[in-house]
Amino acid sequence: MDAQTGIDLDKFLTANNSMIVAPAGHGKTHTIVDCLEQYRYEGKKILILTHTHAGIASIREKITERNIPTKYYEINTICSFSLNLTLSYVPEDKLPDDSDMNDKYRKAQEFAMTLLSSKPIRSVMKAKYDHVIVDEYQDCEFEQHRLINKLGEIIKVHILGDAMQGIFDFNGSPVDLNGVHLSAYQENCQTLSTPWRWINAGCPELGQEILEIRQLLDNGQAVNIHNYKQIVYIKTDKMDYFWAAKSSAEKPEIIKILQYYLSDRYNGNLLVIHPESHRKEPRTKLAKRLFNLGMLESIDDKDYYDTLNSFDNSQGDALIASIRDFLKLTCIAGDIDDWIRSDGKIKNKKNEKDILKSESLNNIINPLKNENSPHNILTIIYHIRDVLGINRVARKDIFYTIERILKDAQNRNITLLDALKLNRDKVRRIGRSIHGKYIGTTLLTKGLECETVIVLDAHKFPTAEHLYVALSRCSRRLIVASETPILHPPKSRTDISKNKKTVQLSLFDEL
Amino acid sequence: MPRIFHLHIENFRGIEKFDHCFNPGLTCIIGRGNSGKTTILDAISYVLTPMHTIPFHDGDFYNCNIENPIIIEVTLVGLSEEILRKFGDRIRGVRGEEIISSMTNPTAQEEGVEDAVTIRLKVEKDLEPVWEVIGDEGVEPRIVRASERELFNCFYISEYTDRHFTLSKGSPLSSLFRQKADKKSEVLNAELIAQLSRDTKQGFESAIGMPEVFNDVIKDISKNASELGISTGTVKASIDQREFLLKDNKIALHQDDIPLRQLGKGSKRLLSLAIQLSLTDPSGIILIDEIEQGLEPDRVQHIVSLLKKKTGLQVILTTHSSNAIVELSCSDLYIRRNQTNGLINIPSTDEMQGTLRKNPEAFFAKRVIMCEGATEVGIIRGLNEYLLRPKGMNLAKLGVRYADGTGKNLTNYVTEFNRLGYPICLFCDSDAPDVNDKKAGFRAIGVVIVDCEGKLALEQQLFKDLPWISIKKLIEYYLNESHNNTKTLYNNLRSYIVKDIQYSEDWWKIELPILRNVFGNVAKSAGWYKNITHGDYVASVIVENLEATNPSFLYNMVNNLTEWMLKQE
Repeated sequence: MDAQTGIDLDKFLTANNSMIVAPAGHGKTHTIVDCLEQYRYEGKKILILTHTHAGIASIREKITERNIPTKYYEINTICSFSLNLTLSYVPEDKLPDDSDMNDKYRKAQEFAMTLLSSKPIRSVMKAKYDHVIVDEYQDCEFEQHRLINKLGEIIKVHILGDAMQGIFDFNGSPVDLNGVHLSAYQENCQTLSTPWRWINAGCPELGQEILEIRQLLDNGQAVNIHNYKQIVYIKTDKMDYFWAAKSSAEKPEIIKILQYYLSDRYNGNLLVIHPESHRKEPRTKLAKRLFNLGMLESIDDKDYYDTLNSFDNSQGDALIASIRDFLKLTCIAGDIDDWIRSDGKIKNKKNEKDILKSESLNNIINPLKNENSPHNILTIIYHIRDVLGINRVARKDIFYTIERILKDAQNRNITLLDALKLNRDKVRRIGRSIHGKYIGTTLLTKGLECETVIVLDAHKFPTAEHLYVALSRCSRRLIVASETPILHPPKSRTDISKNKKTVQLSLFDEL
Repeated sequence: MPRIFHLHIENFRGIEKFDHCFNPGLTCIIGRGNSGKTTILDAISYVLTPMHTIPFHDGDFYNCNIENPIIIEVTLVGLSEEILRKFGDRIRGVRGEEIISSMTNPTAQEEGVEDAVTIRLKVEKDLEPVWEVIGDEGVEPRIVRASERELFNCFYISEYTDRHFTLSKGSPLSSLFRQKADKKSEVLNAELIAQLSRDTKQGFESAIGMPEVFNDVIKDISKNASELGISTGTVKASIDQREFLLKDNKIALHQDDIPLRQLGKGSKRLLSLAIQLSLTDPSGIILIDEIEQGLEPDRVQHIVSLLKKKTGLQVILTTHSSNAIVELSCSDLYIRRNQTNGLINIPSTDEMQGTLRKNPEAFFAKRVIMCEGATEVGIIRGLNEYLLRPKGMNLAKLGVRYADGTGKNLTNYVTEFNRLGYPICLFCDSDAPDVNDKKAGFRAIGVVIVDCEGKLALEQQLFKDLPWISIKKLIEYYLNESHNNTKTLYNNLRSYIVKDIQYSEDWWKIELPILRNVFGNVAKSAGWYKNITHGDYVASVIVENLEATNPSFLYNMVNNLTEWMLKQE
């Protein structure tokens, strides 16, 4: 029995199927790392599976703190695990290409199911792993649950989860932690009950309030944010986010607060959570308008593939058009339309100063544009930024990742899409951790914790679970902006009809 | 423990294409020289070698054509968990003799499927060998490192066993030390060794980090060596001054200050085998080229039967020694023939086992003359000596071997050798009805038959067709060999010849048709020439006056025999 967490790790690990249930911030990740720490290694690893790269990063961070040898464990998302398994045994051309990663993962998962039935692969799994630990089990859709069950025929499976954090469920058919198909796990169920995140941060009262909110949401009741002393409530108006025209005296309070936390006066980490998961535009707009606000991107974001694919397949003016689109996508580059037409041609200018600029553009671009080598593309990008003074990058992740991929492709002499794949694999391996000031969604920030969290449009979260995930990311300071203090999102499980067989393609969109 | 399930070769030395599924346990490959036996062992050892690289030459390519890459694939089963972990990302399955490469194939889920990995060695015209583990077709192979190949525990006893007595990387001796030392600590202190090489052999013991492990190893080797029939005396490890350039290589086993590499060839090979057998629970794959090398026949037999009894060990050996193969059962034996795509297995029936016990030498031949009995064997030997040799030819060179059908088993042997694809010439009498009955059937399956006229036995044929001068020699020979005098002979034959011949000292020297008959019948029934030496003499007599018998049935028989012997395949 662990004195600090109250968990009997021996019991957890000895059982063929076991589970730990805990609210956010109660030390699930900690418990996983405890398992690794006391594991007696004899050649076999513990396989840790989760859903997001953020989840991987936070587990990895704790593992590193405790100096656990890497040979003890392997950590991956269920999607990547299925994909890696498939790529080891199935020719790649039997899988869809990278243009739609969701489709690829879905197909890989189907293959993984078959592969785990093959006798030789079962021997390999048995030789490689002693235990499988699956984090955030509430996010498993039914097909993933079947896959884990398949692994469970060979290896001991231990799961951790929290039904209140199930936020993938509007997409597919999530597994119900309290459902009958998990009865084997429920027999060996333990609970974590101390809100360590807030105790460790010195804000136990905040943790207590978030637990209270959780209780209400779990019961399907409304929450009045006014009731909580530790949480800052900001009332907002629809028009608050269109503040550009307003004078500084009229600047909405929420914008002032955002600007304060983004400025140098605040030097901690900041996470801004936006309720709209399927649309990037609201977040992109904010990131472009608010100085210093970075955007969290999914590593499988279609923008990577689309951009590199258009670089790879165009030449001449079409290539310039692709570069123009890329700069518009990632930078504060409103002016670019005045200089480069959507077909990639440089506009003719009358004004003498402008003629000089457009000539400068033409001089560099024209000799290079007919060969779409990564080197030429980079040169053109740098030159356009230089001449047109495009200094601010709004979507840093996308911009710098694409820049890195271009350099990588040049150095290794490989195609852009291959370089993209390598980069993606690298991120998958090392996970992703967030330090700085970012805007994201619940899906992108799951499993992360941050000193200060600002939740925008809190009344717009689609489900109680989304709202709970958003509210529970903070460790010290929680600011909730909403058009109303009464928040009453529906609980997902009660009112969403489920089709157990289909996996919807959008499932992995934000991973 | 890992063992070889299947071997595939393309364009390696004399082999254009080769496939074979191996037995667990012992496999003995026989065949004429240059049929590719050693190439097969080399191929296996090259794929599974823990060495970093192997020097290849243009001559290693089939027909020296470097455009077609050398490909050697070894599929292994009996995989340890460590191997499964290291090579699992390209795992395959096998069932029966089938390799299942696609893990999405429903067969892979069925009972009886064994885990397998396929390691491929590929050499293209740049001569750089590349080792890979290959999974499904269309999945990119993964490079296999030298240290990973060490896991297969493949050990080759060939001409070059010196390295086996040193602690160089990947040598079984070094594996043995590591095994005993639990892989954790260094048995030898590398720094000290480096220093020692600058000084002398003296004080080597101080470089041994774990003396008890060291002594343990030496004890184990000595025990196994004596089981193999060789005394090791006082073996110890010391610095071999010849190998002063390489670090670990410098340590070699010595016997009374003499490096073991200076022992005789046979002892060296035995000792190197002993080292391999000392590895924990004798395991792994042992390849032995020409096991009889440097060993007395009884030792060959002893070792072969010992290896056959070791379970958990896969032994693949080649031999040219009939001593080796009489110790084995047919199921262990495989025949390698030039320009074929595999090995020929020998059906393990009682008939075949008998054929093998009686005629082990014939299994090494390209073609077999199956002789009815000892006389015929002697005659074939004689024909070789007196007819072929003067022409600058001999049976060995022609790849022809005679076998003794021992009368009653004759037809069995013909059937079994024919089954194995040996071209056969059956040399026999025509007086045994059961044999005669089968001749038409034998001819139909391509057996060439050289037999006597009508229903005659060979002796009858001889006395019918030889010139009288030769007959006199045969009688004279018989009298000498049997210590009979002419009087006894006369008395014995009296009832047949009494009317025609009066006794005198030279009564048998006068040519009479009736005497040809009588001598022929008696020689047959009394077995005057029924052993190999007699047959040999008979042949010398036939050859001496062969032209004088032309034309006769005997003349044609001899002609047919020699023609068949000289026939080039």
